[in-house]
Amino acid sequence: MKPARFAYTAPDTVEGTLDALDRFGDEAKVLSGGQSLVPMMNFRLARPEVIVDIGRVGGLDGMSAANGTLTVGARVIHARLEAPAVIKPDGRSESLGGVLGSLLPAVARYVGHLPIRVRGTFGGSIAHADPAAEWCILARTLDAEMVALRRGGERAIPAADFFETVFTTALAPEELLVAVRLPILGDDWRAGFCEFSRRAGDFAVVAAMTAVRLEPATGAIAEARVGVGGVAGVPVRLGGAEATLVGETPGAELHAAAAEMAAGEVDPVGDLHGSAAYRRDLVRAMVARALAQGAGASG
Amino acid sequence: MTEISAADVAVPVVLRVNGDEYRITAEPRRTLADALRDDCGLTGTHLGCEHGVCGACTVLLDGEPVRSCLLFAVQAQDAGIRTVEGLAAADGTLHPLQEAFWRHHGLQCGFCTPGFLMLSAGMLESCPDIGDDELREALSSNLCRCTGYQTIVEAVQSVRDAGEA
Ligand SMILES: Cc1cc2nc3c(=O)[nH]c(=O)nc-3n(C[C@H](O)[C@H](O)[C@H](O)COP(=O)(O)OP(=O)(O)OC[C@H]3O[C@@H](n4cnc5c(N)ncnc54)[C@H](O)[C@@H]3O)c2cc1C
Ligand code: FES
Ligand code: FES
Repeated sequence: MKPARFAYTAPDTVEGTLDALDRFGDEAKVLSGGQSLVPMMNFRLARPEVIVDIGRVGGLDGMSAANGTLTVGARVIHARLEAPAVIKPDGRSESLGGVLGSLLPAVARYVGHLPIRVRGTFGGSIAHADPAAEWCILARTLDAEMVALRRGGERAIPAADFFETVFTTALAPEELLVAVRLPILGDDWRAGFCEFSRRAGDFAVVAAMTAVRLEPATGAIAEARVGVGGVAGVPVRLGGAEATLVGETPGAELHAAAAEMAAGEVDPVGDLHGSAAYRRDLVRAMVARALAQGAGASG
Repeated sequence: MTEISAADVAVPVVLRVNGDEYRITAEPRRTLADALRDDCGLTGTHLGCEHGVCGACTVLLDGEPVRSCLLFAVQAQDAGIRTVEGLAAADGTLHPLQEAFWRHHGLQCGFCTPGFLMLSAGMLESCPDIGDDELREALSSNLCRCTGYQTIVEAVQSVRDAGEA
């Protein structure tokens, strides 16, 4: 179908964008890569009066690392996270190493297909808040912070408060998501990601991300994060599975126990992509595989 | 305040397609796909689903394969656009990919073919040595309801192997 009529503006600065959002409030929608918004407009599930296209706004597509934090600009396209590089203070570009540097490309390849990944943006995915979106699961699992600007103010929203329900976030209509801050996991972290979808590039039926920090002296797990998508209106953290892991030494038996705990903790609703019981089984399998991947075994 | 285009007024848009300039007027809601087909008369770009899933509408935007049903014509103002009409030479000599699709039976009804050709052209131009797995994964972006895909994969592989794209 064709989208309903809308007025269109394409500011070239952040200030111009904030002015437009301030002026039009909830009549306006930000258009970034258009890979989620335009399908919804074509279906007429979304009928914004005004489109504020941020495709020409400068300064939103940077990636920088400082003080243990990676800041990803809202307009960074998915494809750039397949080979993440940061700009150093001296202006040189350097590929992002470390645990996060390997995790981002491993996750990026699950996001849609090539033509989606060259248009769709990291920030767009976060703001769209599909509960099965890979970047939303990553943001929730790693306790990311979303940086939102409005005219005359800035705030950082923790992931736990940001995702409210399906396609709904804490962002106000006047707010622009400008960047997301992710912790650069140190060398003592082990992270893994695993997803099940029926065809390459589809949204996940269930996906899981795990990250554990190991005590250097003992090799025991000091801190654990287990996040899954596809089982609720938002990506969720599984505290029981996390608690199962903490204090223990990684290994097949522990991973199986944590995965079992994870499967018991979720309360998925069945739909045409999978029954509740099937999704529960997938949680068990995806969590176990993500943990094994993190521990270095083949997932 | 940045300029705002009213919803019901067609604004002038210049599209650069296959090296030609098209001066059209379009309401903001006009997709690039519709502008190419209806305003530029370039009907080689097909529309299947109009929500980003089938890839029939794939064109190259500054060299990258994109869904033209998910882009508004006003967004494509300053970009270089390439469509299936631009693949063959002026004298009608087929592009190596077109030749290969024909040779390998990479099409039956042909509805999906312009999209697959542009996807493959963009992919091979940016990644001429793409591996078999990555090539299959990239081709999974688009849908074909006739061929069963194997012949499409073979056609694109043959062009990659000959280093012709
Ligand atoms: C065929 C297909 C397959 C896909 N598969 C996947 C998949 O497997 N996994 C996945 O995660 N996604 C998938 N997607 C969606 C894709 O990742 C989108 O790119 C992403 O969800 C939205 O990013 P965008 O830049 O395109 O945002 P848009 O579509 O432009 O916007 C999406 C929403 O976010 C808002 N928004 C965007 N940017 C901002 C901002 N900076 N500040 C405030 N609000 C903002 C918009 O107003 C809108 O409500 C798929 C899409 C298609 C068409
Ligand atoms: S018509 Fe654009 S993807 Fe199907
Ligand atoms: S040849 Fe008929 S859809 Fe592909």
